[in-house]
Amino acid sequence: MTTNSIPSIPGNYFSPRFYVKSDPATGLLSTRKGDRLVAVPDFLLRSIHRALQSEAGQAGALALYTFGFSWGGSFYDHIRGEIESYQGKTIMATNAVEFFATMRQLWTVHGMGTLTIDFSDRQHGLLVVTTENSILTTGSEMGLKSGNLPWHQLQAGFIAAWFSRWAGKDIRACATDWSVQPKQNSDGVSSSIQENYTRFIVGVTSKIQRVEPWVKQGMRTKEILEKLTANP
Amino acid sequence: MLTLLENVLDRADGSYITPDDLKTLDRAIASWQQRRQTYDLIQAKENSILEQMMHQVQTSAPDMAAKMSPDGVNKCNRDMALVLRYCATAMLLQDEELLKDRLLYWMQNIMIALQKQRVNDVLYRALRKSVQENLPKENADLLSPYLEIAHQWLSQ
Repeated sequence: MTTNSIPSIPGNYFSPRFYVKSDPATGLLSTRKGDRLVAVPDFLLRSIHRALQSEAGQAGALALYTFGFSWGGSFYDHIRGEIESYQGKTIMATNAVEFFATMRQLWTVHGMGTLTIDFSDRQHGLLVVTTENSILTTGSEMGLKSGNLPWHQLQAGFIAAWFSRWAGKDIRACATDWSVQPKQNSDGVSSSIQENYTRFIVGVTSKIQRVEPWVKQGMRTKEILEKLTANP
Repeated sequence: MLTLLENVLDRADGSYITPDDLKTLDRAIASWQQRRQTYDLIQAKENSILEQMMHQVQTSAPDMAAKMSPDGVNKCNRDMALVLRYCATAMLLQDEELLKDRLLYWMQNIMIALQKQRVNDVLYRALRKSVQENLPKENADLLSPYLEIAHQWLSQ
């Protein structure tokens, strides 16, 4: 008995309780659409950071950015297909607010923590993106072994690629604030999951490249934003 | 009921389901027929519930109604239908967590970003009134708690 004039309405596709499926018979995790999912263990990310640190020293940060960029880009392409086939319209035809609410949900469902986007400086072409409890900060403390800044490049690259693909522009991201690293035991594994956050300034590459030396000099989000918006 | 069943199974891990949990399940199942009938009724009356809600808004908040573009009215109708459908399913399965997980966490983010909380307060008041008027009291009473949750979440 469907007498309703409004056909089926797409809603929250990435609801965590329903997005991830597991099949004990095949030993696979998949999305509700049937695409394979895999859990990325902490150890893997930490090992990648450690290996890069010992092989390349500070240059490891560049490799991590590229790695994150490539990962984030593929992630966007894949997710875009899923969203578009569910919504029955392109992402460009989806209003931005709905897209960002969906983005927040899909971040959560992939275990990448929560994501908040501050649009206050959008007229200057800048977004401030804050992630909390993100898996992508795992291993970032490795940067402190050969420098004085943690490595947030993996996540920066990931976020930059996501926004580059979405906006169709050359977007870059740079971490400009972060919580103090949790205490580690001898294996380099934190004893419990602790609240942590990282804040990124996101914008066109030419702007964000100016930010990177400022962070090295010890400047943080607020000061950097003032400098960027006063002198665009 | 999905959340209830999951919790009961968690608690019964490696053992039998406790007498208390069995009683809770008995109670949940006892009202199934009435919920099922209410569910069918909501589905059959969806159009008139939504239409009457819009009339209600036009009388209770004429300024707000006048400001809505045809596109805005469509979008609003769609959103209200989505909420009504999820509330109906949550009522059928007696599962408010399902309503939050599947709809409200996500939709609340959108409403906050669009600053629609005050508009929603008017809309959901009208929706609740329209449901009371379109369904027999015993059916409307079953749906009400879920509409109330949606109203609260989307207007603050």
